[in-house]
Amino acid sequence: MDYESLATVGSIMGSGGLIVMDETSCMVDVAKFFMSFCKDESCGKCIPCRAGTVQMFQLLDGITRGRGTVEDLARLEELSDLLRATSLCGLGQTAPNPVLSTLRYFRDEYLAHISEKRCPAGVCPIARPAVSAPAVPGHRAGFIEIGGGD
Amino acid sequence: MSVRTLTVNGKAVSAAAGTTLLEVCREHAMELPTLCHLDGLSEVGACRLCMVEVAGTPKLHAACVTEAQEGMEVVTDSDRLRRYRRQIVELLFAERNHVCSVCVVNGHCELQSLATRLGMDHVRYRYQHPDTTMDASHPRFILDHARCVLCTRCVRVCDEVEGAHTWDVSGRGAASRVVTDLAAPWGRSDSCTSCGKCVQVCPTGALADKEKATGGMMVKNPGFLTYITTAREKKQWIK
Repeated sequence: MDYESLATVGSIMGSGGLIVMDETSCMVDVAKFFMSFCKDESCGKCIPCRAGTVQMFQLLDGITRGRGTVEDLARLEELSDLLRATSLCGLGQTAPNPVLSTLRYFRDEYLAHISEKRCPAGVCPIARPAVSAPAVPGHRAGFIEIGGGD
Repeated sequence: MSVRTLTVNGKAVSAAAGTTLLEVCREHAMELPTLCHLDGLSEVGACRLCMVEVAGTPKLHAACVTEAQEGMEVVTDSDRLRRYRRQIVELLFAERNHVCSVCVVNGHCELQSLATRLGMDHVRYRYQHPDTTMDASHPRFILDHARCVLCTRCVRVCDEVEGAHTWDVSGRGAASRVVTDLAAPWGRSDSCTSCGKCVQVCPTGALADKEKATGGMMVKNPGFLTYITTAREKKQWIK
């Protein structure tokens, strides 16, 4: 493990810490966690980092709550590009890394949240047991649709 | 005086050592969008609108804080740069409550002009609608955080030109706010001299004259700054 090999997989050395995760970690939730950190730590001097981390956090938060759309992924990538290229310091420049690498290696998890309204790891709020009450004719409660669709 | 020769958008130009890329571009009529920059104040490189591409370097450079170097090949306009600049202005519009139609500087606003110039016809990001406050405690001026873009021109002009250093930025990230003294009401500020420089340099309607607090009534003139700061060396004793 060296600086160059980490860079090729979209990561950085940082302080040398590693986090080991298995399938019980939701990668969208992981990306959201790191974006929340960057949003809170942003000093606010430059615009892309100050305002961009807030927007990216809200997009990720929306996806984990089952409110995401496929367009949100394009918007996340577009904001990632902006923050990486134009932020004043390393915080804003590297803030998109967890989003970009999870989108690259775990895009299916994002799509499960968006298309199937399902969190594969069972971490996100939408992963709570779907209401499986038999559909009552003429009754289309919103939560039943979110839970499984019809 | 040593001279640097470089190319900007393919055009060969020369510049005195120590000249910034922004100055070089403006000298040769290649306008770059800016927001935090103001002639007569120090540079902070915070708005990121004047970023340019420099051949041979992987990163973009803010033209206002990058000195012209020998042999540089600078590109000030590309699809990528245009996209970034538009995104930055979109983020600004989404960040606070910018409602041009009822703004005191409607039609004379630098943020509004930037949006027009950069082709920002709509905002694709979620409006934050932050719960901002106003400070109308000063007898002559008014502060509306809803229209502040945190360019810190007020902070710099007060410190560097007026010498009062009434303004500062409190908080961090999206919670950043400009404050007078130690976040005391502006009208109770001990350090404020009521000179009004901050109001004139503010690019938006965040700082405005009180009697003009309705739509589009205020035209600002930050041009006085260059006169104030350079009159002595240019021996302009009488304007």
